[in-house]
Amino acid sequence: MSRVKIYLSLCLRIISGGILALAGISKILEPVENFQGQLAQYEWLPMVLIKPLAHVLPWLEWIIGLSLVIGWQMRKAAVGASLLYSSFLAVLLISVALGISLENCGCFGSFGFHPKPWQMILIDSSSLLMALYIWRKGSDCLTLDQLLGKTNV
Amino acid sequence: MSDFLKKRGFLFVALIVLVAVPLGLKLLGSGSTEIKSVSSEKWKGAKSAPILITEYSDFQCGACKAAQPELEKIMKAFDGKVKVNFRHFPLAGHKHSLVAHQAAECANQQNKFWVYHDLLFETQDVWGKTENPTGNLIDYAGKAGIDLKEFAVCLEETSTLPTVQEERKSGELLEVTSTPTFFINGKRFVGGRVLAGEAPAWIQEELTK
Repeated sequence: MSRVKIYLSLCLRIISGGILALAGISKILEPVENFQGQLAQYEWLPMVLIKPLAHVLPWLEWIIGLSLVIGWQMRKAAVGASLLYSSFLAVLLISVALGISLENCGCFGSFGFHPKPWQMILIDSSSLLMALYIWRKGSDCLTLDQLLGKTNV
Repeated sequence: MSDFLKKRGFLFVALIVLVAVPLGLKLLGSGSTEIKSVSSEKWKGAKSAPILITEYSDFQCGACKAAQPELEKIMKAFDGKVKVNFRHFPLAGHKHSLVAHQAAECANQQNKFWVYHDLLFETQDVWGKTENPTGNLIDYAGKAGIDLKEFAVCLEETSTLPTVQEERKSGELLEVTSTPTFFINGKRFVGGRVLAGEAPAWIQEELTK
């Protein structure tokens, strides 16, 4: 892999994983009911799903996001991140198509950054592309997998 | 150190970062849900009611307006057993919210808070979309039977601003981040949909205690 590609993949890993990890930790540090309320804004999501999702999703975002950043089980983390970003995109696009008015997507808890749904669609699509790149091409720069003697995990 | 132990050490550190650090931060930061009293309490419902609903709300927030019928349904379903306490929580993203809350507090000084509260939610789409809502706010005061001279002076002096800020601050201490947020005997419900879906069962549970 050329030097440019090595640094490019590192940057993409940090951005894609960092966004996910930030979104996760911002919600973990808040009362879970706050995120539950944000999810309930998506009126087409069944109420029975909202409570378990509010408990599980922030942890998934945090663990997968940070795994990608530190390069631990990196390829698996990249697949996980791609699946998460695809689901977020689907949820946002369905809500926009149904005309549900969302003042704030609830993606980053109360971290002061409250993107509008269309901004989040842009962020999610670009992050999805970055995660897919990592999954396909891997990243060999500053990874925990390397330290543990594993390659292309 | 053997290679095996070295790898184990890395995994251990990774595990701590991934799970223990956020858990610890969450435990350290988790605030109390004890509702502390504020200087201007606004009550609705039977004083002796065993169920206390504290509502943090923003007059310019669409979700807060949508939650009002759900709250009314709960009050009707548990008539005499529920009392509501309103707290101002104007959100920064809502241009006219702060002045609307100050106006509502001016109405409260003339014991007309709840009439004015209902008018503000009913007309949210009107005053919320004007460039300067002061005229609308004074009109609604007239409709609510409020002494207009006193109201206009109160609104101009912004003397109710500290009360609004005090209530917002009390919400921030309870980690309120969006509106409407309800606390029912200490348990948090965020948004009208969650309130409608989960609050009745919780109230029933509290009543049978």
